[in-house]
Amino acid sequence: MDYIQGDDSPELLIADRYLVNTTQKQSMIGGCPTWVAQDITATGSTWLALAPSMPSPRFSELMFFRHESVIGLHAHEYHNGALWVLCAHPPGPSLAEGLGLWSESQIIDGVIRPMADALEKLDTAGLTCRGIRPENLFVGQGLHKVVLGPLGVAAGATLQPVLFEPLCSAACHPTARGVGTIACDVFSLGVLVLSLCIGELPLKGLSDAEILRRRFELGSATAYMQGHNVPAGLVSLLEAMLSDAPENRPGPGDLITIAPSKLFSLRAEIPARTPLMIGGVEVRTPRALAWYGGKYQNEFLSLLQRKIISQWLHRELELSVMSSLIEQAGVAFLPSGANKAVDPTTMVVTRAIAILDPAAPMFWAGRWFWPEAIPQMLAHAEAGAFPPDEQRNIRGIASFLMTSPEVFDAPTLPALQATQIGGLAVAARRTGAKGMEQLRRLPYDMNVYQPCLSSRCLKERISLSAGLLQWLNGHLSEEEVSAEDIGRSGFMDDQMRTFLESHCARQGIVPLAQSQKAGLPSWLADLTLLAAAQRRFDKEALSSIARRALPLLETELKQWRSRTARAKRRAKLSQLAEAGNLTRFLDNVNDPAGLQKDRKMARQAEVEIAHLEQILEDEPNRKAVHEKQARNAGEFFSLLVGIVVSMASIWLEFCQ
Amino acid sequence: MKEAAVREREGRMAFKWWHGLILGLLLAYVPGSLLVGGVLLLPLVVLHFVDPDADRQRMMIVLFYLGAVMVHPLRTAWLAHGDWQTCVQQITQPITLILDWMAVGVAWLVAEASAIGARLWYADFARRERRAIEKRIAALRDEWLDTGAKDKT
Repeated sequence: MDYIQGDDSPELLIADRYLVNTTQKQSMIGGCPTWVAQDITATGSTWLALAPSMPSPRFSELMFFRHESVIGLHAHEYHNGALWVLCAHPPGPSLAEGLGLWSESQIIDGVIRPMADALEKLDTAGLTCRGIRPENLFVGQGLHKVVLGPLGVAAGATLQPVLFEPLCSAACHPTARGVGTIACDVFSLGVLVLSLCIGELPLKGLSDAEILRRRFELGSATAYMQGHNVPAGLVSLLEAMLSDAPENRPGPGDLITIAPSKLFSLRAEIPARTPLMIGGVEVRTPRALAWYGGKYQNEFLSLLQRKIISQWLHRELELSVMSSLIEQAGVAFLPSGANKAVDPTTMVVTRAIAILDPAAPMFWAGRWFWPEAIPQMLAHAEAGAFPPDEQRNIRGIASFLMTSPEVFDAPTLPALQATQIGGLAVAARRTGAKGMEQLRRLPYDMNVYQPCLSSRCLKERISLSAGLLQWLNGHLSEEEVSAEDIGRSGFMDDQMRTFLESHCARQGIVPLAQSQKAGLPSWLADLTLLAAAQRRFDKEALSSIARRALPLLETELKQWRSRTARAKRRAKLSQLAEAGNLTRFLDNVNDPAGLQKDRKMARQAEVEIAHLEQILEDEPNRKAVHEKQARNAGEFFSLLVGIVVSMASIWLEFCQ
Repeated sequence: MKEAAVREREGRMAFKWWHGLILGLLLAYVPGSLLVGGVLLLPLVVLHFVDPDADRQRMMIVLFYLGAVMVHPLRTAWLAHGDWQTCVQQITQPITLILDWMAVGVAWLVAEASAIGARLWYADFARRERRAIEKRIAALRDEWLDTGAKDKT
């Protein structure tokens, strides 16, 4: 299999098996760019290769979900650290290309029952779908059975149009919708059913803001069905499914057993006869009041303080409990001084809205959102989906929610929001980080498949540590990052660091939170982190990174006192740089035991030098000793000679 | 008074009653040989008085050299059975006397020469040792006390 490709080749071989020709792009599926992938191990079999840029946090569970009316995932593979999802071809064109007019029985058998079955299975698994929208639904030619696009390739309800979302998530920015509940999916299914009944999308041609206005004014069901000829047998079902109160919608279990003309009883919401004026709009329901209260905060506050709202609720809607709660919320606004960090007016608006519509998302600092969507909002903010001041706003909200969840600890807070805030606070604590670092960590900690959000590699969609290491290794040339930059700000930016730290933390490694605080230069901290990541995730050589680190580490060698040790380590360093194992590369310099030994030997050397110098200084003394010794030696020698001479004399005398 | 000091005085005083006895006996029986020995030992006595620094060691050295010279005259005197004539003849022989007196000088010369030799040897030894130490210090300084500025090459 010689699929050797140059960088400029349009062909991409994923996992040595799926060949993707990047020049032949298909229409988007599930909101992801899509290409045809050829399986080179089985001739003739092709798949669709999806490149999700923000997969769902629950992707690992969703990818194993199998259902006859959902396009199952064939495989998920990584190519250069980027996630690729391979799935079968959809059976036909998507509904966005033409809805067609479906009969009542076709809708029940081909849409409601299979989709409800899928939703129930999802619900049992604790998952939601949030992908029921025309362009994600496919119909086979001549068939009347919808098939849902692959699940989990987009995060939550980000791609859902406002029309298909219940009010509780339509009011939020798409990224702030979170994964929602199965009731949200039931609503979307209701909108789908309605569209198929009438052959077109309801409220066609209106802007999102106008759609929202109409829905708040009339209620979604009425707004959608008004003026359309809906089959009589489905009216009660649709009214239930499109109800704005999630608890009024039928569960998926109720929908599986659906039969024509099955009746759903619904407690009708009676709008007030006398409307309340807020911001020049006539408001007739508490839900609409909550929505406009968020829109016109100052007027809402003044109405609240003047107790007009509580009176209106009491007299017009006969909601005495809600009225008294609202009155209390208004009173709480008066100087309480419980928490100085919170603007009291913000708090009051938030509480009042939660009381008026328990199903509404959280309203805080001028923004509707679900707390569980905070990581995703942060991710989108980092990816540059928001203007800078909104990014700041989102960060502020996120850090406030994470650091002081107790502020929202009120009995009036809806249970769903309370759970989500609790979960968020736990996740934030689990990051073990503070401040901006905590905010950066959250998206990665909450979603294993979150691609690295660094602006340098965002479009590469790298969601694997090994992929990031390799990408970094390939993008560290002198032109891309100058030596001064590395020396000053390290090899990575904050997002890459956080990405790797999060992935390390998931494996139970804390590479250097402490040491970085201890004031390591950032490049060294980066290198330590990279080495930890390489040790854990990637066995490939990172010689390019090591080569760039070489001159910096060589200066670090100065702490070794021994010149030969320095020379030896320097030589070894360049060898290891070529080998590309960062751990061993770094250990060559960061060797506390060796360094201690070096210090010890240096101390010994100093002592020895002092000792030798002492000996040199003592030389005059030794000279005197030598003098004496020399004289003694002379005397001894002459004595010896004397003895020899006398012996010789005796020998001459007596033996000659 | 301490014992060592007593012994030293005794050593210097040297003459005890049995010294006198031996001397008397020798004088009585071999006056010739005694004369030869006395005359030939004269340089030692002179040295003792002339050079106050001359210690026992030095005396001992000189004694050996004098002994070497004394062997022949004493033997001649012995063979002549202490004949006065022969003994006088021995101590009046100029060669013997010259040798006898020169023995002191030779002893001194040999002592000084070897002392100088030893001194030179020691000086050389000290110099070599010093050079070795300096070399070791330089090596240690180079290895340990250099901050790495130089080994950039």
